[in-house]
Amino acid sequence: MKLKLFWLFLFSALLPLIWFSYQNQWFDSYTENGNSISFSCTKQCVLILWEKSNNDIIKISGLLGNGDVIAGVMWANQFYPITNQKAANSLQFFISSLNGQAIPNNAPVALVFQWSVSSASASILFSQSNLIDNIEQIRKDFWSNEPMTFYSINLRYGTKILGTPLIQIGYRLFFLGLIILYIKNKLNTKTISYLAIGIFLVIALKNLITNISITSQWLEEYTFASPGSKTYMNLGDYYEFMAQARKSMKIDDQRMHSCKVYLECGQEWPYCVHADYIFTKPCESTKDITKADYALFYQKAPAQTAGMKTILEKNGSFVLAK
Amino acid sequence: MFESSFLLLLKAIIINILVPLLPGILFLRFFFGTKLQSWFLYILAWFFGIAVVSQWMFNLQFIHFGIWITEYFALLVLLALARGVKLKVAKADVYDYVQTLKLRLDGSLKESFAGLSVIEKRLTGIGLLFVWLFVINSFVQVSNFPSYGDDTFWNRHRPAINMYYDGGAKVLGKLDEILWRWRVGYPINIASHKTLAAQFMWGWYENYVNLFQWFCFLGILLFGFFATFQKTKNIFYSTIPLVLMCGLPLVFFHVIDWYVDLVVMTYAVIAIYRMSQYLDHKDNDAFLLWLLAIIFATSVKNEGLVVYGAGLVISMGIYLLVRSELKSFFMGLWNKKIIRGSLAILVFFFLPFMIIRFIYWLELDPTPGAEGAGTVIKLHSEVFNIYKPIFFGQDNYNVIVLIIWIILYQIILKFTNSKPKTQDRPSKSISLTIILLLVLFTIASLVFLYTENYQWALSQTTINRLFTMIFFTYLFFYGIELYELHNNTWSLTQSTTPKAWWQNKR
Repeated sequence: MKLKLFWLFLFSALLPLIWFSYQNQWFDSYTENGNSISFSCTKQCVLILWEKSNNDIIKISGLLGNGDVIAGVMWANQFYPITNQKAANSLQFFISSLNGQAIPNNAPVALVFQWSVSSASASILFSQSNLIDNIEQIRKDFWSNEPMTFYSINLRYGTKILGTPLIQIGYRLFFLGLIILYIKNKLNTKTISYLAIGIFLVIALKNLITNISITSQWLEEYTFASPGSKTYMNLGDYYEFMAQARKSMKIDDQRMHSCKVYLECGQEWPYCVHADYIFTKPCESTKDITKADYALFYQKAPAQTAGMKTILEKNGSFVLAK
Repeated sequence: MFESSFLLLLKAIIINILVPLLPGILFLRFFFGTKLQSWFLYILAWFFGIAVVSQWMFNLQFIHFGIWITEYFALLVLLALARGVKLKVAKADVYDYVQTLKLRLDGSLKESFAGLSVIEKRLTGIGLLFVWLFVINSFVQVSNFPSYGDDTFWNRHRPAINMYYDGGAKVLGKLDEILWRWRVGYPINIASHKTLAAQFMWGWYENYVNLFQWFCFLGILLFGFFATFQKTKNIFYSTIPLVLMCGLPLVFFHVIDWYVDLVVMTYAVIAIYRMSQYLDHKDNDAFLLWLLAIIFATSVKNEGLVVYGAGLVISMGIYLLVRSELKSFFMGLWNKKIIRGSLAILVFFFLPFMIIRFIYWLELDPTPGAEGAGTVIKLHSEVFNIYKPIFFGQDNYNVIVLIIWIILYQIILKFTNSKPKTQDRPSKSISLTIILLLVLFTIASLVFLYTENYQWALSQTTINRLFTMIFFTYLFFYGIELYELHNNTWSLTQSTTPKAWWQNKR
């Protein structure tokens, strides 16, 4: 009986790999229904589709959530992102080239979903582009905004126009400009400088628009959001919870007093780490709940209470006090 | 901690400006008299004031435990008394003294703009609009959201908040009890300033605690504009460095949170500016200001000493060797003012923390996960593969290669000119900044190529921001360089026309 159960369990675990047309990884849930898929992704999930062939447009419809969707290709077992957008009901990705180079037709196309993206019935279609599609895509690409992530301080991919980085277009325009200036007999130190600075300024203005859009988005989601619905970056309600936790613990009044706090989080970093470093000061953290004055559980139900009572509960996070 | 309001913001702005500015002005006036005036006085006073107050607080802990408002006002009173006594002894005219505090500009911005060509007017107008929007957007960012970056929490805010709640920093004791009880090998200037700002705010306010970085950035923009305008009297060339510095894509993220590389670079830029003044005019005060700026850079981040301090010294060495001025340079330093001043600076600003480092054997930068980083010398040629994508495939530096190439190409053309004239030499500030750019870039590349730090290059967690800051330093002087290039006035900043270096060998 136990052996039968084992084989049944193993077969069930392997079934998705045999049954599904696409390879999928790390989804919270995933099913395929004919030409549509339903799924839920809360962290980072990968969906490997078909080979690119002559197609260069992916149309996806039916997505929900506020996470990111990144379209790219698999090359030598590595994912190369081409373009990304926020999840929405209807998305179109242009995947003709990668960093200015044409993508081979036999390269598998892949989608990466980040943070909160789900769908009850999403459809994914491949097609070839025409001139109108290209012009429309150029317009969309130029005005698209790269989101800010935890690695933005170290790396920015930048805007890509039909898969070609705007930076490369800038360099090509510079050399084109040099040729035009030479033909017009206006090539000198000053005109070369003005040309380079002008191109630099255009790209800088584009980046400024991106940064302003990031600021406005966060103002909407955090500063001007109503209490109870504030979110910031990819940390959800973390800051709002910490603000309420401090109020309920009354530790802002305890500047000269010491206190101890026990911390447990659904994910240690960054939540409990930052809470330990700053957000629960002046309390010092302790690993022993019995010695703590307060216990804080973020995105986690209290597994142990040591006789403390709940003074705050918010969206599955708790603060307990002696 | 997460409260915000317009009044709190106003309070935070006033505190972040005045707390360093007042002692900074008194400090500079006491030691350098009325040499620094107008915009340069205020900007330099603000930057130096942060370090002066932080170092005062730290040194005080050797004899008195306490980092609080009282200790700050004690410094203010001490500096004011010292300055008052010096004025009285010198029988200085207060009216003249006050005149030097007025904000003035040597030249007219309006007239300068009117004299530009059409394309220069357009580039200036759009450029200034771009800078203005950048400054406003970054201000809105830095004054509305709490901290996010790991490094912010890890390196600066935890030490700062520890000192805030402890009320001071113990100098002697067990390793887990001394100083700011966290990352004790990390320099303390920024954390100390944030502690004091929180004291004046009467609370730690997450939304305003990063304002300091924004003010550093604003300060260096203003410094860049006025320094360039003073030399060129041209608003177009004065706008260019601002556009270029703001236009480096990663700069925005350095202004609002995360790392303090930008703060280190502001002190490095001040150091270069002062050194070029010393080389031009042999002004002893300029040398002492250079020394102060270098030491303050090391008090912000360890890279200030290891990378930028070493880079500056090596660049100066190369510059002096090429110009055969090494001997005369050191002979020029052999005077009472420089010797006494340098010793005083080293004893007050450099030695105390070094003593603590020595007593407790504190590592320079114990970054977790980097054990052994830098200790094994081996070529990691795979790092070469990262250069093309980071410069030409991603938007980490805008089209910086073009911007730098224009200047370098013209300099190479000039030097390969068949009939070099004595006037055909870059000015000292241009020479120094270009040598510095090449030296820093080479040092950084060698570190990534030959040590275990190659992993930070391949993962792009360090290489882009390090190069960004190197370019940022260089771009500060770009307006002056471009002006000299366009107007063929290489010797603009030199008071005498020296012999060309190749002529010394004949």
